[in-house]
Amino acid sequence: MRSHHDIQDRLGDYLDGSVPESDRLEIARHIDVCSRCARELERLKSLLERARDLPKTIEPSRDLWPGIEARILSHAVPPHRQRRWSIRPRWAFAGALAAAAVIAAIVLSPPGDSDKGEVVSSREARSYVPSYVPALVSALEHQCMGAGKQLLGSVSGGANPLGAEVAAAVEQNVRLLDLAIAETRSALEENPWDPQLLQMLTSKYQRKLSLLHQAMRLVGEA
Amino acid sequence: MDGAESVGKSPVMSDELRIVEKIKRGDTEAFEKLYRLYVGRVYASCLRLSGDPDRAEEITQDVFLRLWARIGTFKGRSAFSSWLYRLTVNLVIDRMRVEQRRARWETIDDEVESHPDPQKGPSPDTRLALEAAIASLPPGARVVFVLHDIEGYRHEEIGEMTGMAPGTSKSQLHRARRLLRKMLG
Repeated sequence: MRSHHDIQDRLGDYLDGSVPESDRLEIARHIDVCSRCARELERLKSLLERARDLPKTIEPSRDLWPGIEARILSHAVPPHRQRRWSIRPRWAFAGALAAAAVIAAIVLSPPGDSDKGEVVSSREARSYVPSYVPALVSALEHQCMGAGKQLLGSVSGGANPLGAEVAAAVEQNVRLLDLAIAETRSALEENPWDPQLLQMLTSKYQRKLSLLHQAMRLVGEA
Repeated sequence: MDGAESVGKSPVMSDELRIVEKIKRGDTEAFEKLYRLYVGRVYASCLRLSGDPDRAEEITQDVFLRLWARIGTFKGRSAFSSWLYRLTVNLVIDRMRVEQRRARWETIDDEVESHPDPQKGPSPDTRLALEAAIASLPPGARVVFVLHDIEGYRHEEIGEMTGMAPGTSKSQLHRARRLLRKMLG
């Protein structure tokens, strides 16, 4: 007899039809008598249905054609040599670790003066904020804090493994990202239903996380 | 584009192939027509795979520039939409590899799993909440979820596109679904 955990672990494969027949029967029998696992199956089904129903087209925020046309007509730069999408590739890959005290001060402090885990500050605005926004921002903030602590832990008690110059670059870029996060959050306070702003905020946090993780990896390699 | 769906011959497709032939001869007006036809689909894919609107716009432009450069290699053996989708996915993944060349796809980035209070997660009823949650997934899990659960590709096909072993693709999908359920409550 499998545990609830074992069964729930296989619900995805069960829905995908990729479990052997004997397992399929066992899971089906378990779901018939177990409301907890049946509920979990329904949640997963609902998630997959909503994923399938997402729109297949989304228009970009601006018309990209003029830029494409200009580049085609100019023949100036072959497409395969276009610039990369990394925000600051030079530093991002030269990357890495700052003195522990400097990093600690920066990465462990949330961006912006008004950042206390809430996206909105005024009571009036808060009443119109979609309920998931503060939770999502809080989760992202939590991830960054976790990564910051991990980074701090990986450099504490020793000398800066990669030098002052790289440390300064890290510091500067964390500050820039924090500034961008604070600005986006501020804009989100004004327009809490704007999907582009929410995605921009998510991506800024991802960049910060990516930076912190790259720094940690480089420390590990140093 | 049709993601993993197969596309049969249709009048629309014939029009499309005529446009493609014009583009092969250097017709920029025909190329603009094709751009207008597919930009929403290409951008949606770039946005979901990269999780970043700014990058998605940049990559979308590059997809069409690459399309312009490589249109001569399209022989019509598969649906144009499928071919373009593959080209899009390949470009997004190339860019992600450049960005994360020091990381592996399998990199575990599970801070998100320590969500402070899953009960306070995004409302499960909104599309925006789902989009935002997908965007916040770790890159490997996000790519597999988008390709498998939104676009309908099989793990073997995802492996061909991303270079992941099918087993890795399966475990990333499992992880993505688990994280999404946790985030969405």
